Amino acid sequence: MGLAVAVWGGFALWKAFDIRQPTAYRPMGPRVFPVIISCSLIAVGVLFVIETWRRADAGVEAHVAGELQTADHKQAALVVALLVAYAAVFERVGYIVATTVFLPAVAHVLGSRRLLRDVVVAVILSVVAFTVFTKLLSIDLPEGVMSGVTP
Amino acid sequence: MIAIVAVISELLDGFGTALQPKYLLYCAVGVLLGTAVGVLPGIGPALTIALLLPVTYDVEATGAFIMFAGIYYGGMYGGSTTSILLNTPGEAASVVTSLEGFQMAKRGRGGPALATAAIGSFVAGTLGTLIITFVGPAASRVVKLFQPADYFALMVLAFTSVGALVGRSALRGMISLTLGLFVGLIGFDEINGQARYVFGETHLQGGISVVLLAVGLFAVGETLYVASHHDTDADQIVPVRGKLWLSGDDLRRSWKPWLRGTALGFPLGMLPTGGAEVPTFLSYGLEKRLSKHRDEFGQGAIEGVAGPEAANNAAFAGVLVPLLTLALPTSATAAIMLTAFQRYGIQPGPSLFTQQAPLLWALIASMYVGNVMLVVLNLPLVRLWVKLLEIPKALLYSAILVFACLGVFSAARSTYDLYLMIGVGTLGYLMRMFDIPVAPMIVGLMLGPVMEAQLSRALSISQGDPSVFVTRPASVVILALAVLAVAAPHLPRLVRLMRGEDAGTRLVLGEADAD
Repeated sequence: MGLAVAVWGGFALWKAFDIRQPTAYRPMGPRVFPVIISCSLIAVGVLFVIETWRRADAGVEAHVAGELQTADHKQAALVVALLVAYAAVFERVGYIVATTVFLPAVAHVLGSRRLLRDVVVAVILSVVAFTVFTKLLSIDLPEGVMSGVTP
Repeated sequence: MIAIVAVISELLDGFGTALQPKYLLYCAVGVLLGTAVGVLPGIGPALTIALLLPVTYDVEATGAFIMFAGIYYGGMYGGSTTSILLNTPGEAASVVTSLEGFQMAKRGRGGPALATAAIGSFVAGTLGTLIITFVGPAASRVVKLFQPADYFALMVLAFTSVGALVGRSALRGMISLTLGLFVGLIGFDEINGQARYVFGETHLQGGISVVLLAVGLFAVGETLYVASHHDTDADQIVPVRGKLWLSGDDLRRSWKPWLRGTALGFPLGMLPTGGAEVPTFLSYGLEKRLSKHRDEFGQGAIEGVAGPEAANNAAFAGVLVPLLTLALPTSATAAIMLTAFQRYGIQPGPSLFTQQAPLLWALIASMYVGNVMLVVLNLPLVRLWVKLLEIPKALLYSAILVFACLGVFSAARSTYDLYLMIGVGTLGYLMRMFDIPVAPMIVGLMLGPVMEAQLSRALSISQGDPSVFVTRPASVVILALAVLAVAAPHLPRLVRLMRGEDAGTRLVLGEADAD
C-alpha cells in the first residue's frame, strides 16, 4: 500500500521539476498552474502515506487489505494482455476477425465455459457493429483480412 | 409576475418542440437505454453517453441532449431495479436502495418496492424539473454578475466539497480529483498554446479526452476488477412477487419520504458534492430516524426505498442547475454532458438561457415528458428488465470491453488511444483496489483547464495582484465556504482536542456503505 503511494508521490515530484520555459510577460505563465497541481499531488500522496501508516481509517484500510489479498491480479493482467493484443492487431487483421477472437477470449478469462455461444455472440456483435458504423454512421473501421468480403 | 409568465410561455414553446414525434422518439430511446444501462451492472449513464458521443455526429443538438438527459435520469431509475431484485446496485446512487429494497424483495414485497421507487422517482424528477424551470433563469441572472475571481473561488469550493463528501475517505476523493487535474494539464494549454506533459508524443498534444478517461476508468477498470474476482457466476435474482402497485398503507408511508428525498436531493445535487450518492445516504439516515417503523429498517422498510430513490432523481435535476448556468459539472455524467455541449459549439453558462433558449426549453420540457414515460413504461416492463439481468456476467463484461474499444477508436481513429485507454483502465483498477473513487477524477479533468483560465483572467484584470480573491465579497464568501467544507468533518474532533479530550472518530458520510 505504502509502496504504491510512494511511487505516486515520486511521480508527482518528478513532474513538478519538469522544466518549461515561460513565454512573454503575463501575470501567470503556463508553468504556474502545473506547479500548483504537482505540489497538490505530492501533498495528497504524502498525506496518503501518513494516513495509511497511522491507520487513521481502520475500516477502509481493512477493506483495502482484504481486497488486495483476495483479488486475483493475474486474471486482471491477463485481460490487460488480451486488450493490448487486440489493440495491436486491430488494424491489421480487421475489426470483425479481431473481435471474434477477442470477445470469447475475455469471456473465457472471466469464467465463461461456453465457447460456441460466445463465438456466436462475438460474430453477430462484430458484424452488426461493423455494418452500423461503416454504412449508417460512415465511421470507417479497419476491414483487415476481410477486405472485399465484408458487406 | 412578468418573469413567471415569460418562463411559462417559453416552457410552452419548449413543449411544442419536445412533443414533436421526432423528439418524443429521442426521449423514449434515451429513457429506455438509460433504464437498460442502469439495470445492467458495470455500465452506467456516464459510460453510455461517453460511448454514444462519437456516434452522434449526425444527430442535431436538441435531439442529442433530449436523449442524453433521458439516459441520465433513466439510469437513476434503472439502478433501483437491480438493487431491489439482485442486491447488487447497478449505480453508485442506488447502493442505499439495496439495503431495504432487497430485504423487501426477499420477503415477497418486491412489487411494492419497485413501485415506490418508480413513483418516487417520478415525483422527485417532476418536482426537480419544476424547480429548474423557475430557478434556472433566475440563477443565470445572478451568475452573470460573477467575475473571474468569483469563478475561481467557486471552483475551489467545488473541489474541496468533492474531496470532503465523496466516498468514505476525504483524502481518497482529493487524490482522485488531483489526478484528474493533472490529466487536464496534458496537451496544449488554452491560454499560451504551450504543449505541456506531452513527452514528445503528437497524439498527446490535443490532451486526453473525457471520453477516453471515462471509458478507461469505468469500462476497462471495472472489467479488470470483475476479472480479478471469481464471483462471475450468475447472482441469485429474486423473482418479482407482490402486486406492482402500492397499497393504501404503502402509499401513506411513502409520500413523505418522497418529498423529503426530493428536498434533500435537489440542493445537494446542485452543490458541487459529486452527484447523487451523498443525498441518498442522507435520505436513508433521515428516514430511519423519522420512521414510526424503525424496527423494520434492515428488514425491508418501504421508507428506506422511497426516500433515497426520490433523492437520487431529484439530485439529477439539481446537477443540471450548475451545469447549465455555470458550466460547472458536479458529477461524472455531468462532466461528459458538458463535453457534449462543447462538441456542438454550445458553451453552457449564464448566457445559455438567452442564447440557446429554444434548445434549453425543449430539453426541460422533454424532462417532464421523459419522467412520465419512465413511470408509464417501466412498471409494466419490469419483467423485461429482469430478463436483462440474466445475461451472463462474463459475456456482458466482454461485450462492454468490445464497445469501449469501439467507442474510443471511432472517436480518435487511432490505436494509440486504445493503448492509452488500457493504461487508464489499469489505473482505474488500482484505484478501485485502494478504494479511491474514480468519478472526481473525471470532474477534475473537466474543471482543471477552466480553473486555470479563470485564475489567469482574474490575475490579468488585477494586474497580477492576488488579493482580488479576498477583496471581492462574493469570492471571500465562497472561499470561506470552501474552508468550511474541508474543516466540517473534522470539527467535532477539533473541539474535543481543544477541550483536551481524546480525539475520536470523525464524521464520515456514507458509513452505511460498508459491504
